[in-house]
Amino acid sequence: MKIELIDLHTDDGLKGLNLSFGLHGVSLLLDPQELISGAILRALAGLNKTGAGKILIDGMPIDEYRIESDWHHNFGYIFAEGIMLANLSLSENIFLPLRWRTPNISQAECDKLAEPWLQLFGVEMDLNIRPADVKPSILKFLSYTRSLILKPKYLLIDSPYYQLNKMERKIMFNALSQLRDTHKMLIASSDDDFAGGFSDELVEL
Amino acid sequence: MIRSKQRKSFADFFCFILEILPRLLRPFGKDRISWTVLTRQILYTGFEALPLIGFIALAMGGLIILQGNILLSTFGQGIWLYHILVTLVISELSGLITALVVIARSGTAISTELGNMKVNQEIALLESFGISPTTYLVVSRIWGVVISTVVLSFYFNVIAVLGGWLFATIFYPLGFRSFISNLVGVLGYQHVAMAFLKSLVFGFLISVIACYQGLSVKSASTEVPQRTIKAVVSGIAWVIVADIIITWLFWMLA
Repeated sequence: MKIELIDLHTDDGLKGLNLSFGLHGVSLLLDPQELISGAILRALAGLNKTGAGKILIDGMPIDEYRIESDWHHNFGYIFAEGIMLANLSLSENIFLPLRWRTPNISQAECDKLAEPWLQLFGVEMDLNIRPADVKPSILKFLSYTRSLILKPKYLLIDSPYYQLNKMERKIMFNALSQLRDTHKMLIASSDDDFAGGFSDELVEL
Repeated sequence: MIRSKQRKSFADFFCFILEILPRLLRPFGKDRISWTVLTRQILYTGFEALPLIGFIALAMGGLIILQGNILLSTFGQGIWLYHILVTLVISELSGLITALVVIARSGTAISTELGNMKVNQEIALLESFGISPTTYLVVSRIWGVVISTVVLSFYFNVIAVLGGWLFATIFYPLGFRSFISNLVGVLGYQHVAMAFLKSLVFGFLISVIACYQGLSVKSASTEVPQRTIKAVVSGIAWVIVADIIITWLFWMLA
């Protein structure tokens, strides 16, 4: 997959950006100043307003590509902050998109789908509490679980180390190292851990 | 400059209504409403408001009978009490007071909640999963508020009539059956239709305005209380305008 950003302007900071990169395994947008990598991911996910310019995926405008490729089933965008809906429990949050897509799915099936991902991130806790009662790093791990149970082919990951301490960064790195075998990933980060041997394509911003 | 901004905002509001109307009329389509959001909205807006609405309705019904009895019994025109009860309570006050309570409790809550969701990127989160925030958050809430307002308005009428009868018995012995049969004799279908239509329209207006103002928050949490105030002020203004129009329409038809 080839992604091209042509003279792209968005409402959250991109001004006339021209960039081209591939997404075949793990691609890293290395942004030491954390200025624009997040905005690029949001533009790809359609979460910011594009003022001018265009995004092409394999030569096709992204809006057309979204329709043709069944975007929301194939792409999972993971926020840096591990965002959850405050008025739902953790369990309701994790399974919200899954239940939205498959309304008749049982709780047992949901739990079965989530179990390996919760284990991957070392999360073992009561999921019937509200997000406000949980520390941000756990919310972040749970937000990865929420995206992964939808079985996307591509993961758009914004700042994987954001809000994590040293131990939690190790857990995240190990988890992403396992995920790189099964998922194609576009990572926006300021951290060198994902450069070097980890990423197949490095885009320095 | 300011005028042009206001005009844009007004146009935006109508675009918002045009966007939600088709989804409102097809709540169980592919882009369906959320039962969780709908039932929770009915719980907060309807069920939890029952004690307050009941108290106000009881007091209103009683006070109208009390004041009316003092005034009309002097002239021997007690039967007009029923007309006053029907015209004032069922046609006017039930819808209006219910609407004011719903604005104060739920209009503010919806606007604040959606505003905070916008600030905390929860709206963007829903979009990232392909869940339409308009259907999931707005349409579900509108249905919840409309259903609650209609039921609360009906409940207000029942309690106000009961309150009226209770207070009437203070002045003279009056059987409940006799009170109700006199009231039903005065009550016309147009009163019931007007009360129903008003509660329906008020519920719709309150929820649409609250959702619109909540979603108009851009990124700062300081915008949330400002938008909530706008939701309350616009809600009251629109409800009164709608009340006048509906009353006038029924008056014309009569």
